[in-house]
Amino acid sequence: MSEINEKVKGRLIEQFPGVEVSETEFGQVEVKAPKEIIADLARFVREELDFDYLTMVAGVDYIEYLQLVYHIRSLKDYAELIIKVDVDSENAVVASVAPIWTGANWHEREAMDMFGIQFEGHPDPRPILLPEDWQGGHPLRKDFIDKRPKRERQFRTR
Amino acid sequence: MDVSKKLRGTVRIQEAPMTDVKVMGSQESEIAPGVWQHAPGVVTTSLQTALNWGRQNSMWYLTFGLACCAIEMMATGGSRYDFDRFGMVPWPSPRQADLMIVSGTVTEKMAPRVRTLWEQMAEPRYVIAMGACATNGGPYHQGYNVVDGVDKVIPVDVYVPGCPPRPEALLYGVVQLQRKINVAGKQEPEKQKQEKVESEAVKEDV
Repeated sequence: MSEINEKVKGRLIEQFPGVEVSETEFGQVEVKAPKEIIADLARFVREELDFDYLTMVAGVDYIEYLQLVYHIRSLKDYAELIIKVDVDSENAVVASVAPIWTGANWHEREAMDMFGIQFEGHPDPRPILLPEDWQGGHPLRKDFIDKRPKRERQFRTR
Repeated sequence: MDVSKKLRGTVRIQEAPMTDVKVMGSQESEIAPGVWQHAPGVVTTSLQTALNWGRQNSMWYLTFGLACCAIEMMATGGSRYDFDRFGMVPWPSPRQADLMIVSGTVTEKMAPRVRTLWEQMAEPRYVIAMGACATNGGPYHQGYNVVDGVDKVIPVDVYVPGCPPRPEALLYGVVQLQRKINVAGKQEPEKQKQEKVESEAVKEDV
């Protein structure tokens, strides 16, 4: 396990000198990368390091900025990789990884609905959980306000 | 043998012991007491009663599982509680389904789909709102994307309360729906008529 992690860390630092590479307490390799290189990083990780299974793409709102977290597994080596990418909350545009891992398609659509992050090069950028004509904002952002009129609970006595 | 002569002899028939009853329609049979003395071998009913009987005893339900209530609906359809006793079969197509059990939270995204599937069902069609969410939004009543009650989208026949309702509760809801179907097209009970008259009178006063 740790040998594979060392190998992965070495290759990543060698290929992308700018990134921060560390290891979590659960034995996962963690990479903090700038958002400009995410497409190159994803393609390198998929093709050179055999990380072939994207478990999930999650969004986090840290109020000052947004973050995208990719959990990727290698079924061949039993290794796990986490990529964290910081995104500006005003101008949230990131390159899509759906052409690289097909499973990222719906995860990125969900992040699009919930956090308003736009994914460049996404094959099917429609809303997935919200209605098609949704104008109410992005529900999982901290500054989200429900604009629907407040409805009082109605009680009926028997 | 002339059957009509025997039919007229009611007094003799009532005195005949039950041991003489034989298979109806056979030449030698004695005429039994009861309905058979008027029309042997024939059962009469109104068309409406026959239709209601057929409808209430073969309700195929559209499997509309939207949330955790669907688990209870599956349990009710399973062997322990057994919907099949009522002739109810889970059916994945709206075209042949008679009953839609909306089990779970209806979101704004899902609401047009619920409406479309309801419109695709053939009449007569019935709807059961199962659980608190389908009834009025339940615990997600203030959610930004939750329709507060499926009755905002489609008409509902029976509401089953609970979060989620136990299979017995759903079965009771189904029996209530059967009772509702059974009185369809029949004469109104006197009590309801009176209530209607009273309510109309109140309206006129206002």
